[in-house]
Parts: sequence; C-alpha cells; structure tokens
Amino acid sequence: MGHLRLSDVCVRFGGLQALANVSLDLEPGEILALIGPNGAGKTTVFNVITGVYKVHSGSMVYGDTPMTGRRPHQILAAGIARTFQNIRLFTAMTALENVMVAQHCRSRSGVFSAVLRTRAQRAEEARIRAKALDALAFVGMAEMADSVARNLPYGLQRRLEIARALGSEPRTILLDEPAAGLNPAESRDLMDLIRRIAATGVNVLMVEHDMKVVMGISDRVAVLDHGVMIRQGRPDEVQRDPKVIEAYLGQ
Amino acid sequence: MTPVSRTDSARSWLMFGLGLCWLFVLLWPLLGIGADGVLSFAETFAVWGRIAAAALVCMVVWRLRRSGSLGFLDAPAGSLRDGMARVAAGVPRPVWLIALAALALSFPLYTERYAQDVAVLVLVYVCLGLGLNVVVGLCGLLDLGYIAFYGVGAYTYALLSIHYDLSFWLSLPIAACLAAVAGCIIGYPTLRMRGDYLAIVTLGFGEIVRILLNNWMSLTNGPNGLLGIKSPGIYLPSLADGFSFEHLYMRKLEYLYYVILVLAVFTVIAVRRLNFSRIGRAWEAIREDETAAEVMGVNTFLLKLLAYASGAAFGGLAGVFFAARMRFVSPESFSFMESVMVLAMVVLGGMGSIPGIILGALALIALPEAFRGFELYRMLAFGGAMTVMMLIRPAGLIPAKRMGKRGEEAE
Ligand SMILES: Nc1ncnc2c1ncn2[C@@H]1O[C@H](COP(=O)(O)OP(=O)(O)OP(=O)(O)O)[C@@H](O)[C@H]1O
Ligand SMILES: [Mg+2]
Repeated sequence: MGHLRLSDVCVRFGGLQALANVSLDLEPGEILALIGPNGAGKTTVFNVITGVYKVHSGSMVYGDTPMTGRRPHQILAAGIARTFQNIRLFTAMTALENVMVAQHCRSRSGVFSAVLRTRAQRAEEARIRAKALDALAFVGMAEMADSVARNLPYGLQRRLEIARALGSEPRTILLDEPAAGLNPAESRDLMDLIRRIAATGVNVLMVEHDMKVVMGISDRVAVLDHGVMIRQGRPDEVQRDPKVIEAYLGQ
Repeated sequence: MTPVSRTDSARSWLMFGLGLCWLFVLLWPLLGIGADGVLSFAETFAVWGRIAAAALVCMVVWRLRRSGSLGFLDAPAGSLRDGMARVAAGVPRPVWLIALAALALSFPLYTERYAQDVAVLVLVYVCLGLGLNVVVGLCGLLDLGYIAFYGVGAYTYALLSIHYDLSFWLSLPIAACLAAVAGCIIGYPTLRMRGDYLAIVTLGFGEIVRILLNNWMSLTNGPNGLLGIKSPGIYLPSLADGFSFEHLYMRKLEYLYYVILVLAVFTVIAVRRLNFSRIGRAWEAIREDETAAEVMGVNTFLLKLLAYASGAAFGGLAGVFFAARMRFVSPESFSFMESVMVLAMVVLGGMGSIPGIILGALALIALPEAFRGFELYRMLAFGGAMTVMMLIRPAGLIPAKRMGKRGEEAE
C-alpha cells in the first residue's frame, strides 16, 4: 500500500532525452527529496508519475497495480496527488471550492441527482464540504475558506495547493518546489506541515532546491542530473558524494 | 489647472473628435449608399449629429467629474446608493422571490398581446442563454454552433407532433435527450481542442445541422419548413357531465407565456443546482485550468461531453417550445446569427452568472423592441453597447458571484 515504484523510465522530447532509465522507489510513510540542477528532469518525473507525460519505455507500479499509461484523474483516484512548480490553482474559485474539486473522484452523484437535489446528493455535498474544510484546517487556512484563490497572498496560494492535494485523501503526495519564494519563517512552517503530513502515514516525494529544507526533513535524497539518477541515499551521505557535488558545481 | 491635466484633457478631447470622425466613416456606408446606387449624406448627418450631441453631453459630464466640478453631487448620490443597497439587503430573499414570482405570474393580466409576445421571446432566450452558459460560462468551451440544438429540439417536436401526434409534454424529454445526443456527437471530436480551433469546429457543426435541415427534403421539407405543429395541450377537469377531463390546446398567448415561464424557471433552477454541485465545480475547474483539473481527479473528457450534452438538452427544451409556439419551423430560424445573439447575451450578462444572463436576454431582446424605429442601426448600437461594456464592466452586467459565501448559504 502506497509503495510507488518507477523502473527504467525513459522520456524523450524530440531529440532531447529528458529521463534516461530512471528508477525510483518510494516506501510507505517516507519523505524522499528529489534534487538536481535546473533542467535535470525533476518536474518531468512528477509529470510521468501523474500521467501528464507518456513514458517512452519503462513502467510504474503503485502498490500492486500497474499504472503506466493511466490518465491523470485515474492516478489521483489511485491515491497520488501533487502540487505544481508554478502555482496552478483554480483562480476564480474560492479556497474551499478549490479543495472541494479534489473530492470529485471520491464522490459520484451525477447530473440528475444534482438537478433533483436528492437526499443522497445533499449528504454527499455535505461530506465533500466537511472533508474540504478539514484539509483547509490541516494546513491552517480554515478562516480563508471563502476567499477567492486569486486574491490570496503568494505564500497562502502555495499552501492552498497543498491543501487541495490533501483534499483528495491521497496516500502519496508529490510536492514540486513547495518552498520556492517563501521567506524563512514560511519555510519553517512548511517543514512542519510536511512532517505532519508524513506523520499521518502519507508518503511524500518532494522536489526542492532549498537545501535547509531538504536536509532538515527528508529520510532519503535522490539526485537527478541530465535525466540520469546519479545517486540515492541518506541526506548526509548524498551531501558528501563527489559526483553530486560535481553535478551541482558543474552546471 | 496644472499643465499635466491640461494635456490630459486635450488628449481626451482629441480622442473624442477622432472617435466621432471614425463613427461617421463607419456610418455613412451603412446609411448613405442607397439600393439604387445613389449616394446621399443627409440621413447620415442627421443620425450622426444626434449621436454626436449625446456623446458630447456624456463627455462634458465626464470631464467635469474628472476635474471635480461635480463633487457636490457625488456625496448625495453615494449616500443614496448606500441607502438603497441597505434597504435592498434588509428585505429577506424569500420576499424578493415572491415579489418576482407575483410579477411574472400576473404579467399577462395587465399587458397587451405585443408585450406578451416580447416576454415569451425573452424567456425563450433566457433558456437558450442559460443552456449555453453551461458550456461557455461554466466549462469555458467556446461554442459558436449552439443554436443547432435549438433546431434539433424544434424539429424533433415538429416531426413527432405531425407524424405521431405526440403531445408537447411527452416530446420535451425526448427532444432533450436527442439534443443531448447531438451535443455529444458534436462535442466528441472537439474534446482535444482548445480555443480558436474549438470555435471554428463548433461553428462548422452548427452550419452542418442547419444545412442538413435545409437539404433533407423528405424528412424536413427543406427550406419550406414544416407546418401543422400542435400547440401544447392540457387536461382540465370539467364538471359538465359528471366528472371528466377535457383536453384543450393552449393556443392563446397567455397560456404559452405560462408554459415558457415554467420551462424558464425549470432551467434556472436546474442550471443553478448544477452550478453548485460537484459537476458544476468540476466544470469550473476545467474552465480555470484544464490540466490542473485533470490532475486533481476530474475526468475532463467525460465532463466536457457532459457539459455539451446538458447545455444542448436545455437548448432542445427551448426548441420544442419554439416549434409549439410558432406551429411552424424552417431552417432559417437556426442561422449562425442566432448563435451569435445567444453568445452575446451570455457575454453581455456575465459568464456563469444566472441573473446576469437573464438581464442580458432582456437587454438584447426587449431593448431593440423598445427602439423599433432604431432597427436599422441595431447592429451598430449592439457593437457600441458591447464596446462600452468591455470598458466599464468587463465581467458582464452582473458578474458571477464569487466573494464570500457561495453554495448552500447563498440559496
Ligand atoms: N513538454 C516539454 N516539451 C519539451 N521539452 C520539455 C518539456 N518538459 C520538459 N522539457 C525539457 O526537459 C528537461 C527537464 O525539464 P524539467 O522541467 O523536468 O526540469 P526540472 O528538473 O524540473 O528543472 P527546474 O529546476 O528548472 O524546475 C528540460 O530540458 C526541459 O526543457
Ligand atoms: Mg521543475
């Protein structure tokens, strides 16, 4: 349950080999940081996992189910949620509605029950709302529920993206540079939040450039360079690895 | 006056003059070139003069306000507006609804045939606008062929009524289903398209439906149209001999007004409920960011199809009424211009906003009727109104409500 495994994934864009034989294991309950210089292919890994990009070869398994070639909404339904590197909220909708959208795949009432407003539909709506409020409260944004997403300050928009991902009741969450653009205080809050998420049994895969955050909370670090996975291991080991240092200095 | 504000004022007067010249250049080909090739200027100058005078008044008022000369009016006007808003907010919602319902129900009692005719037309367009709003306003898919579904609904009832003598009420769900199927057929190939391509393809499909209706002589009687469609029927209890039900065709305009009122109210409620359901939220998510919606668990293909189908179903319902009202259908009622009209209502009123679209329909149908003599320049006025709207209310007459509480609380 919650065990995500990528094996020998290759992704190409025209002549560019964005990922070459990338293999990655994400164990239940762990926090894994994916690092690497700009353009290394970290976001591409996320896009492969969530089904936004098709793999050229290789496979992905989640728990016991093969996931290769699934559409993004099926992958979310299977329990993998993500945030985006450049915030992609539903800007004209309220914070609460943003999170409620994430419950779409966990609910089933259709057009007719919505028009007739059946008892089951109303009960489901109430449940969706309660779950979404829980997710907002978890990231500490309960009182912002009715603000329109576009009017929120940057730091809170990042936070709302995490709440939206949590709103889908995931077992795995992928965070793409969650600390980008945050001030030190906000970064500390974020680390605390990520720890709390992991404590609920959700495993976290995180792309991050801020080494303080990476070293502070991750159980394991994976290093990607030019689409190649050059090292995986404990944070302190990885930090000392000459290959990793070279990849960062050589850019 | 500071030099800055003087150049500012000079610039705006210059733009004003240029705008009027430009209007004249636009107006003259419209009015000055007669059918027999005779060129005249008198009429153009008369019309242009009137518009220029009106614009001058607006301009002077605006300039005076800018320079603060009308400041003494602003305070009372502001307090009046606040006071009105406070009174309006003080009256509870049910009271508003009851007042509105009473007004709508009693409308035929104190109006003439002509006003009722306009009201019926407005209500038909309210249904169409709300249906299109599902596709354009909620799901964000530009659809330039929407009127095709209106046509499908109208022809469905026409054929069912003529050949099978099926009642209006039974035809409603059948036509809605057929229109929904047509919506899926048209929607399916567009699922992977965005923006411009989508607009072109939907435009093409709308025309295909119209041409089909035009050319399939054996079924639709082509451009001559279909005659002999029955009005909606109703069973009234009668006590003439014992207790029995008497069947009655509702030919009178008052009755038809009530029929379309029921349809329009149904559409308003249905669209509103859809809007605040999980389906509506998924549609709005697709409108905001399709990729993010898909990643957040929305099956975008299915939901886009669903938007086309439900929007089309509302159009189909309106079409059934149209056929029953006219008792005649022909392809020319379903031209591209009609699609544009409905789209204009949605944009003018405010995408995704139900009261906005009702107001938009009222503005685009009832106002031109009120200015009958103005008919010639209707399109000109239309363009002018749209431009002004873009400047002063870019989100529509009544923008969709976002701030604060939405959903159940707002009911
Ligand atoms: N849709 C695409 N089409 C073509 N090339 C792409 C596409 N997406 C990514 N790439 C290329 O793949 C490479 C990896 O990009 P990716 O976004 O995964 O990098 P990254 O590690 O996330 O970098 P950053 O730290 O800047 O976010 C880059 O060279 C990028 O230009
Ligand atoms: Mg990236």
